[in-house]
This record gives sequence, C-alpha cells and structure tokens, in this order.
Amino acid sequence: MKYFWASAAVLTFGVFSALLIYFLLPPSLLGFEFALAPAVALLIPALGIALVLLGLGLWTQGFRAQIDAALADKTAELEEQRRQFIRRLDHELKNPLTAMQIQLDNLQNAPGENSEAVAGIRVQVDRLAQLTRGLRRLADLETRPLEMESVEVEELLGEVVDIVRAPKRVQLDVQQRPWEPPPIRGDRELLLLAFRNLLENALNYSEGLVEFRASQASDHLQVEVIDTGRGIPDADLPYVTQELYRAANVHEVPGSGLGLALADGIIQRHGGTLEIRSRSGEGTIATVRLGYASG
Amino acid sequence: MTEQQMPTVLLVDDEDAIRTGLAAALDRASFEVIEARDGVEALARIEEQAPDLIVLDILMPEMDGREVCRRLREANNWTPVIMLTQIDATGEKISSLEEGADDYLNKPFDSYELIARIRALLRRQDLVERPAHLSRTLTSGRLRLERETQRAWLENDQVVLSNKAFGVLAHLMSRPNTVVSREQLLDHVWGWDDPTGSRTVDVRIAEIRRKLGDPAADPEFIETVPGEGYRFLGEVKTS
Repeated sequence: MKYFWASAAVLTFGVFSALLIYFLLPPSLLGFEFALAPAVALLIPALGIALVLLGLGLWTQGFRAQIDAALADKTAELEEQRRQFIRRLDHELKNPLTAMQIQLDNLQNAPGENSEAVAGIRVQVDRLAQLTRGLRRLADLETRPLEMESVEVEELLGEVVDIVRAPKRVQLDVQQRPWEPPPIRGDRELLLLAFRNLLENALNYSEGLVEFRASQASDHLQVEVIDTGRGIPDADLPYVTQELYRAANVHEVPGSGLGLALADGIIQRHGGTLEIRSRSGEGTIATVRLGYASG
Repeated sequence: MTEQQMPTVLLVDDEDAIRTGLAAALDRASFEVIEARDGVEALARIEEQAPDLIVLDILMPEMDGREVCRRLREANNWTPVIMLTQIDATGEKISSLEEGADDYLNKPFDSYELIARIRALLRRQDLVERPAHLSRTLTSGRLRLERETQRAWLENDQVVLSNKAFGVLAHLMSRPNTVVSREQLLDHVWGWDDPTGSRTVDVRIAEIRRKLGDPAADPEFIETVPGEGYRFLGEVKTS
C-alpha cells in the first residue's frame, strides 16, 4: 500500500509539472518545442485528477477501517473488564459468605430466643450464595469451551421437567409426528440449565399449567415455554435478559435476575435465539430456536 | 486413628472467620481440630501431629493449598485431603484432583456439607498406599484410563469421552465391584452446585457404553444394578 502511495504521488507530481511547463513556459525558454493533440492534453490532467481521487478514497477507507478496529478493540476491552469485575466480585463475596453460612450453622445448633431471626438471616444468606453462583456461571459461560455433542430433544426436555420445582404443573409436548425431532447439536448440560431457567421462570411467575412445547421447523428446533401468569410489562420487556434486571411487577418474588441472562447467553453461544413475547396480565411465551445437529 | 480416639482434622484457611467457625462446627461433630493459617504452618502441623484428614483452602499466602497437597503426595503421605476451592467449578476441580486432593468443596458451602464429606472420607481405612481414586492410571483388561491427561484407551485405540463421561468412568473404576448410586455420581462428578437430574447420569453411562462397545444387556465393564445404580465389573489395577 505504501508503494502505491509513493508511486501515485510521483506520477501525479510528474503529470502536473508537465502540464505546468507546457502551458506556462514559452517554448523559447525551454529550448525545444513539443505539441500535443487536444484530446491527449485533456486526458493527462483527467488521469491526474482520477489518481488523486482514487488516493483520497483509499485513504478514507483505510481510516474508517482503523476506526472500526479501534472500536472493536475498545468493546472487547470493556467486555473483558466487565467479566473481570464479575469474577472479582464473586471471588470477594465468597469468603465472607462462607464465614456467614458456617456461623449461622453454629448459631442454629445452639437454639435460643433468636432462632427465628437466625432462620431469617439464613434465607437471605442463601440467596446471596445463589447470586454469587449465578454470577460465576455467567462469567464462566462466556469463556468456557462448549462440549458439543448430539443431544436427543425429548430426553433433554424430559429431564428439564424432572428437575424443576413443580414438575406436575408442566405439560410437556414434543412433536413426534410425522417423525421424531432430529437431535440438536449442543452442550447438553448448558442446554439443560438454559431450559430449566426458562421453565422455572414461567413456574415462578404464574400459577396454572405451563406448556413446554417442542416443534420442528425445516432447519431448526423450536421450543416454547408458555405460561398464563402475570406477564412482563412492555417497558421491561426489552431488558429482561440483561444481567440483574428484574421487571417492576415481580419485586415480591425472590429471584436473582440472572436466570434469563444465563439462558439467553447459553442459547446465543449455541448460535440460537431466544425471543420473549408477553402481555401484562395475560402471560408470556419464551421461544427458543436452535439449529439441528447436522447444521 | 484408633476407635477410642476422636479423629483429628487439620483445618487450613487464612480467613480467621472461616477457620474459627468451622473449628466450632467440627468440634461439635466430635472431631479433634487443629488449625493452621497458611501452607507452611500446615506442613509443620502435619509433621508434628499427623492428622487423620486435612481440610485445605486453595488460595493462601506463603504456600497455597495445591503446593501443600503436592508436597504431601510426593512424600508418600496419603492422608485424605478436602480442598476448598473458590474459583470456578470444573477447571478448578480437575486441577485439585490432579494435585492429589481426595475431594473438593466450592465456596460458599455450609458446615453440614463439609462434615458429610469428612465422614465419607474417613471411612477409608488404608492410608499407607496410594488409594485407587488418586492413582494416575486405572487398567481393567483392555481398558485403560489416564487421569492426568483425561484419556481413555481400549487396547491401542483412544476413546474420546466427554469430560463428565470420563469422570463417571473414573469414579466407577476407582471402586470396582461396588454399587455406586446415581446420586453419588452426581455428587462427585457434577458437584453440588449444578442441579441436574439422574437422567444426566444415564446419558453419560450410555455414552460410555456406546464408545466402549459395552452392551448394557451383556456388559464387560459397567453393569446396571436395577433400583440402585451402577457397578464396574472386573479387576482394576492402579499405578
């Protein structure tokens, strides 16, 4: 690229100098006379101008690429800083939390008048412990290598139902006809965690049955988690997959604000999408789309 | 450890609040407790008092938990060690086990979890030889597992197993001819942090069987014990 610039500059300089000499200096001073056809005389400055424009175009393009690269670097740096912050926070919280849990065990073994207060503190300390676990998982998730394998859909979703809080409220329906769903390619344990979080969420914020449906699209599997609960207010909907974000209408329900962020992160790492549609007071549909194993 | 004596546990953690809290809990659970604040002090206590079990924090000033464990094992000391880890689950766990820890617990944990693990480890009697679950290589007939590199071989062919499948197979092979329940496998291979179900265990067993060519109906290596769990069949040599 540098050579191009050097040769373009020399060429442009040459063309302009020749034109200057031709038009400005009388032939008597030059000691010789040369003549050019008018078409050639016009072509030469046009070539010069074209070269200058080409040079300018390339220069701004290079400049833009530099800005883009700098921006990408900065974004990656900020992302790394955020990850490091979460790791440090998690790390710094662990020792005090462990000490608190152990001392609470000690207190609970020496029952006295304060046993109710101790039990209350325990619930809160357990929530904090859960939060640190969630934070660590989130930080891990972005960097840990995925263990990809072929995952049987019905078996995976069946296990998700087994491990949630209220399996009896879940109605699992995996489309079996005209053929069974092809396997998907993914890290089985992470997918288990993602679907579990989605299902737990639906169970937490609704009272009735939760539909857990898998259907087959031509190139992907679609899994829906449908509840008829309180729904998510419109204003909160764009933010619910952000870390630690909790919608305005759920503050009385204990939760970490990490479940959906984790699910979304896992699905994204699998190249899939998570879409959440909701109507306040009517319910929520979470739709996951994941490519099949062969894709 | 004689039957009359209370087992002695050495607690090594640089955090005073954790150490004193745990000391009280272990004392209540009828253990004799010795404490140390860092790795150097820990090695001195082990030398003087030969504890029956060591609870070892990983991150400590002076000398960290891994180094303590490495030195003990190099000196052919097989006192059971439980590592207290605090970084991430999988990576940290594998490296603690490589350093020769018998078990690990992720912070934060409560004292009941620790006491349960201490009791489980103390049931082991042989402290003079390298126990099977710490051996580098496990061999049974044509099957060989190399723990440090996490590789499995059938005769001369390498068998590529997922991390968890390797963990399950290594756990079963370390306890040949013993029934191991799905819950025990979940506890040891997956840890307490990840809520998974027993089907996850079955999926890994199926993976092992498929890759080893070991049919469930007529197994050479892993037998299903209905209603109880799984059992590794046959002699296992350790080295």
